[in-house]
Amino acid sequence: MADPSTPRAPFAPWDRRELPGLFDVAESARRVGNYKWIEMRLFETLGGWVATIPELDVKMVLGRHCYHHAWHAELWHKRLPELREMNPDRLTQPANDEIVAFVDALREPEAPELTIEKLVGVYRVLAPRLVAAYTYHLNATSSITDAPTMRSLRFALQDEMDDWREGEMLLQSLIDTAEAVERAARRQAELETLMVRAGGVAGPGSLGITHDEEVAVG
Amino acid sequence: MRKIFPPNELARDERFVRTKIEDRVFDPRNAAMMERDLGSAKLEPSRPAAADRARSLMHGIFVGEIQALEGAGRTCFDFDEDDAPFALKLDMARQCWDESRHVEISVKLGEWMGSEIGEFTESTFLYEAACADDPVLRLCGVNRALEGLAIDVFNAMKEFGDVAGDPVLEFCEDWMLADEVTHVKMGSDWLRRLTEKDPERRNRALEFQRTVDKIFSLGGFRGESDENPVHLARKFRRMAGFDEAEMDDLVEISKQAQADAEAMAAAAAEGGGAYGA
Amino acid sequence: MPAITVAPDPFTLVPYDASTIAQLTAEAAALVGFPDDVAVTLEVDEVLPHPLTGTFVAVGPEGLDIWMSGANFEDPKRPLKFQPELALSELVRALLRAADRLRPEFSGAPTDEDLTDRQRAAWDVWTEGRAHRLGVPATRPDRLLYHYRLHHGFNDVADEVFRRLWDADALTWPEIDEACAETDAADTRERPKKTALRKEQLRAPRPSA
Repeated sequence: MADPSTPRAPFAPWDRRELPGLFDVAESARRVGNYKWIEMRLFETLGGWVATIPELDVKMVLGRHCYHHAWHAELWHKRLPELREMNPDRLTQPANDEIVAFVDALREPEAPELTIEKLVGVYRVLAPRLVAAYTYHLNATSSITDAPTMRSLRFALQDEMDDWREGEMLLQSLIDTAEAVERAARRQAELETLMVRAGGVAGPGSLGITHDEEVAVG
Repeated sequence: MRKIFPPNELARDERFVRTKIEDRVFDPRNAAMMERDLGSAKLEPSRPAAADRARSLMHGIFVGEIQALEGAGRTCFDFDEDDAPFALKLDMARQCWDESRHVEISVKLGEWMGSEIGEFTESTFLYEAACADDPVLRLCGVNRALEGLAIDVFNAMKEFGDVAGDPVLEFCEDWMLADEVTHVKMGSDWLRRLTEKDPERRNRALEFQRTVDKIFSLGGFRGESDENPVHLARKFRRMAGFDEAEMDDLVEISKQAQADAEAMAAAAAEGGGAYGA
Repeated sequence: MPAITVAPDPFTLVPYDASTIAQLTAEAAALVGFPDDVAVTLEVDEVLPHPLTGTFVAVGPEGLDIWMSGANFEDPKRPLKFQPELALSELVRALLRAADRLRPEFSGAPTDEDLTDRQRAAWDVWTEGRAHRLGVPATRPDRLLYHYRLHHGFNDVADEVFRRLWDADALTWPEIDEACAETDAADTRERPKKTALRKEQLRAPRPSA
């Protein structure tokens, strides 16, 4: 049996976490505030759409996903004070005006025959963007100093990936004609353009690319 | 998407058929039915047409759950944070998931009982209570009045499953009952928190709750006598934050609703609301 | 075609048509091969709404008397609306059981009023199975299974008996009764203290009325 008084390395040999990270406290907090804002808009939208969607299976899935995004918003809300932001509402902000324009466009469809448009906005545009921004944050931040954010990111990512897949499968089951393919593609292009203008859910730099490196769109 | 989505536009597929509450109230058979001595109206396996009655009630629960899901979802969307605090909206989102599961459970239970989606009619008056423009009124109308009724109904169905020896029904109703207690408690808590310094708003909300309770007593559907198919589940209501006075008040409201329905049926009969000669 | 009388005629509370019902009864009689020389009197209780369904048949020297709740003909989705498909299937069920009662193998069967819930549910399963094989719409095993389980129990023995009853081509009353004894022996539930509500009770006025 090992002698308990024998000194051991503070990090086990397999623990390869590094101290450096790309974000300071303020930057991590800014991003978390953006995440909370977009997750809130998303859960509100999904909740609002439930009544407008005639397909029973989609209705039930949106009810479930609505809560997932609300829970993510709550995770970010709780993280903000830990990032020195004692007034979480101050940082609960959209990354920029372009992301507001994106959300306005996302939640516009209401009519019962627009389920494809609704789902494309969430599962072919916003969900992949959330996955991307969360993954970048997870990979870029200090795995020691920002560990609590990373833990929440992993929980959120697990949901995002599952929900993205489920939403995509719903879409594939609904897109069954050339006209529906066209509708889905058109809607995706409209919203993707707005999202590119916003630079991602946390604005330019959502994926670590700076303004200068970005390609102008639209 | 608009704020405040109208009940008549609730999206459904072609299996669903909608009726109005008036159709039921002014059914020309009501007066004659009231002259019959049908004995205890409690849902029991030994009662006539027990399977049909249980299926009909199950379908009512199913469409009620859809509307509860829609109502909670709309509360997430319809209000900004000045009107509905962040934590309240989180509760409503949580309720969305719960109601979504209840819809799933209800579909499975309907299949188990030999029923099918859209077999019975749907009326939208549950969702109508979720259209108030004050979130406190919604919470009183939906979470306290309607989810309170759900406690009574699920308890009745659970007892039915127990007496019938139906393990699936009893199991499912027990789980849904647990969720409903949580939802009613949410309503009770938010009513207290949001109206702490505004007694007038609280009174308005409680008055709205009474109105919804009366409508949902459906002329004697819920009460504490043998003539009521669904009885007040006092134990679970207590857990959800109702006090004895409120529950006594509810029994009175139900009696009043029954008397009103009888009067309406009699008036309809006198007015000749019938067919043929 | 047997002589058919439908009451009430006209209906006053529901928009049902007695001649349509008589025509459907004739159609049902032809489908089940009900004897032409037995007069059929059908009384529809128009007061009872869905889901208060119920059917009672009685065969006597005067012919066949059927009492049926108006709910049996009512579209569950549209209150008060007569549904011909549903009515036809209900009439087939009633006439199949009535035809059974005309056979000597059923001479020992209690009257409908005196059947236990268990006996009635077992007989209904056999009836429904035959109606299904006759191609009658709205006959589904899963639907009847729940009604049957309420009275025979939620267990494997009851389910096995259900399948046997559903598939049977010919049965006698003692065989149905035996099937009931089999499920009764496997049924561990507490027996209800109340007896089932009967036709006369469904029609009974309130004491104060």
